[in-house]
Amino acid sequence: MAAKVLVIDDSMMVRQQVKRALAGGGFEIVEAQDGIDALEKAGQHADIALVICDVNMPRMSGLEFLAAFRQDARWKGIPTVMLTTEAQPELVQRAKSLDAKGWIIKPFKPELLLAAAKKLALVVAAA
Amino acid sequence: MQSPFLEFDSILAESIADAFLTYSADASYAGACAAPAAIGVSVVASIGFAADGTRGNLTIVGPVSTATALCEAAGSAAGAAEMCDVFAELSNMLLGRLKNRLLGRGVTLLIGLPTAETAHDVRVQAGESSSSWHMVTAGGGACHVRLAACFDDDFAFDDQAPESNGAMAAEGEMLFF
Repeated sequence: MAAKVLVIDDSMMVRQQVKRALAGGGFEIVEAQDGIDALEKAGQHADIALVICDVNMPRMSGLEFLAAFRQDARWKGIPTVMLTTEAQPELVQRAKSLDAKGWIIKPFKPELLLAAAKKLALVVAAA
Repeated sequence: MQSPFLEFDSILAESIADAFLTYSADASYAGACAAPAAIGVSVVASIGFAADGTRGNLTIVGPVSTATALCEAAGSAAGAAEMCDVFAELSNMLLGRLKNRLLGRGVTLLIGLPTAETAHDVRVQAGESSSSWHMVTAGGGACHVRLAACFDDDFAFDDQAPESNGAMAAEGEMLFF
């Protein structure tokens, strides 16, 4: 069964770009357009293997989502990678403190994202 | 010493081509320019920013034909929503680059969320702030990028900012924790 990746970004074009980048890895993509939408989608898909998340989004930011996600025992150990235009050290440290596994600065390299997704999703599969 | 606006503007000018190359392999920076004439149906995206002693916004204006080409180059349909989305994301990426370059100079911009729309005969009016226009060719057409900002008298770069205040990585790079 294909590993599920929850892709959270308010830009549909970015979600499409991520989806195309991960297509070669056989991932199933679940899309969400902000943090609130993502929490709802996560509740509907218990087998999420990886989360790729923007930072600046309406309604609920990526870091706010990550804080809420980490408080729910169902999502313990699900790796999260932040995908954003931001490179501010305080934001990166905040994500790290919330157990994010990576931080990619847009525009992303598709092959880099795919390699990271394979590596991180494998960790979940092996657990 | 250049004015703060000129320093912001030169960073933006250096970033424009790279950002547009994300969506169009033929993107090329064409230089500073005058405000564009109204061009019929356009796509417009704008995003605001603020930091201690400064505030402003960045606007991208381009014809529907160019927005269509950018969408198609990205492998997407070219409806109004997709065209607005591309321009909004471009404005977000451009301002993100400006923010990341300014971190090393002790200026931390807070960036808003972009808004975008299609409109007829757009004319962006000059306001009280300093502003500049830049042109980029992409997707067989041209787009215009406007930076507008105002600065308080006590605004200053902090060139003694510790190295750790700089951006953590460059565009396209990944940090693993």
